[in-house]
Amino acid sequence: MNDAVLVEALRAGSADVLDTLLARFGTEIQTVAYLILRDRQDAEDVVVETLLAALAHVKDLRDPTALRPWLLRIATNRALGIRRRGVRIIHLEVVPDPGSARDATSDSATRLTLLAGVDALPARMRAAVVLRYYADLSVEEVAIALGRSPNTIKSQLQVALGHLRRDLADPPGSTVLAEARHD
Amino acid sequence: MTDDQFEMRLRRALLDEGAEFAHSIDHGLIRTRLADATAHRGQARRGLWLVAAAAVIAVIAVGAILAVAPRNSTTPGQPSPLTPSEPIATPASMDVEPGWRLALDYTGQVTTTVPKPVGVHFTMPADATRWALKVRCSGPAALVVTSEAFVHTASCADPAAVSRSVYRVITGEASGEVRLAFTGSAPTTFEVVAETTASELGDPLSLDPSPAPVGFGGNGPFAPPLVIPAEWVATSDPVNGGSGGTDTLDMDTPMFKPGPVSMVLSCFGSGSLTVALVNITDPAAASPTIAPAIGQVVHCDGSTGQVSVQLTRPSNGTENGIEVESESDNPNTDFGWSLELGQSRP
Repeated sequence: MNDAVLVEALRAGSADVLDTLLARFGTEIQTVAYLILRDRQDAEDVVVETLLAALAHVKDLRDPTALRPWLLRIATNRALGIRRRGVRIIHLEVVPDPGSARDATSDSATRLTLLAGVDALPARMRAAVVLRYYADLSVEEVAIALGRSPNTIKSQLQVALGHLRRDLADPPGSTVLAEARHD
Repeated sequence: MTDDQFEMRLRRALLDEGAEFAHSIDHGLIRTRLADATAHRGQARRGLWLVAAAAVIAVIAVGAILAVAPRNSTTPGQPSPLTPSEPIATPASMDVEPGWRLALDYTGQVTTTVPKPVGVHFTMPADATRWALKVRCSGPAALVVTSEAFVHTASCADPAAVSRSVYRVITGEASGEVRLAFTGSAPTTFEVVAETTASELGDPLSLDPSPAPVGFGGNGPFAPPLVIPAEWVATSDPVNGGSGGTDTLDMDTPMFKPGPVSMVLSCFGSGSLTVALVNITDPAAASPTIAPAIGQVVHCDGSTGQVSVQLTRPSNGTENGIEVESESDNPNTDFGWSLELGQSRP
């Protein structure tokens, strides 16, 4: 079933199509939400809310071929909404691994540092980075998803990359986000 | 490194992280939730027609009754809004609120540093297999909702703030309690909405608001909620030292690096705290690292005690956590503590 057929089914109000949407886009939506929120339960909520919103508001989708970026746009906005409501984030400083200094340039260390840097970015900037570099949306699509101009997104990405570069060059100066949870 | 090379590294880091997460995804529960939600949409549409028809009939019937009824037949007294006198005959579903909805007014003054908990008990119909609790608040306070299964925070100051629904599949026990803790300095109103997918009307849902006693805490299944009123700081509820108080902070710390993690316990009141458990969990580790802080006693006489733990291996980037449990031996009910965690350069 291609996107146009999926959109037609959505417009017809067919709830059955949600299964297909979940199978095709669910994992990506959930992962994008997770990379923005860093919370598995919230990411799951985002998937449910996104697909239900798609069913309810499919009339807003003008171009059926843009189904995927449209869904990611909904998901990102839902994720940012959750982010705005939540106050569970505290900042912790990153410290280098004293026992593995020689691995400081390893892929694993680089990945940890970069992800820490992404987590420390402001929410909308982080969302832009995730959409651009994980979901591989174009700058224009990211701009539409976040309701900003392409120039603003370009600028945000440039700033984000600058931060991340500095983090990679000087990991101890960066910060890490962590979630505090009372169980 | 060129810009392209750096972007490639970033892309690869995100893709690797995403792939690890995606590997653990199970869409079963999401499928169930979607099915429930869409089934209810259909019911709601049919329900609207039924409600409209019923309203017309009711108007006619009421008119007929008024025409023949005696004028002094009203019953004095109203049923308490907290205890619905009888089940309301609506099919239970995730979005049906009448009959399952209870508004509670909470107007207690709360301080900015000590959360003021209120317990709300609930009982679900016997055949409830899924339920959701929603808590809404308005006012300048921050709210933390805690239960055995979840914790959620929201700022009541944002008029649009509505805590997200908490959806859980439960088996067996269909009752429990949520604790609502507020930080703020002005009256705050909150509302608890409980919804269930019970297929038949069984026992009505009961919410039993019970203001927590002074010194609320102790060793029960619900330890006093920890609140994060500001970055870096978690504040416990006043601990009832007479029965021994415990509190646990579980931190998901995806990016903890090897090195010391400092915990600063600041007490108010006087007494001593014992660090009962410091547990660092990492599912990737063959054996979790246990920090050597267990048993440390922090004497609190207005000063600040400090303990530290040591992370000995790098995080796998996903599930690291630190669990801290403390006990108080102070019989005073106004004794409490705050906790700060941080990781700094060695």
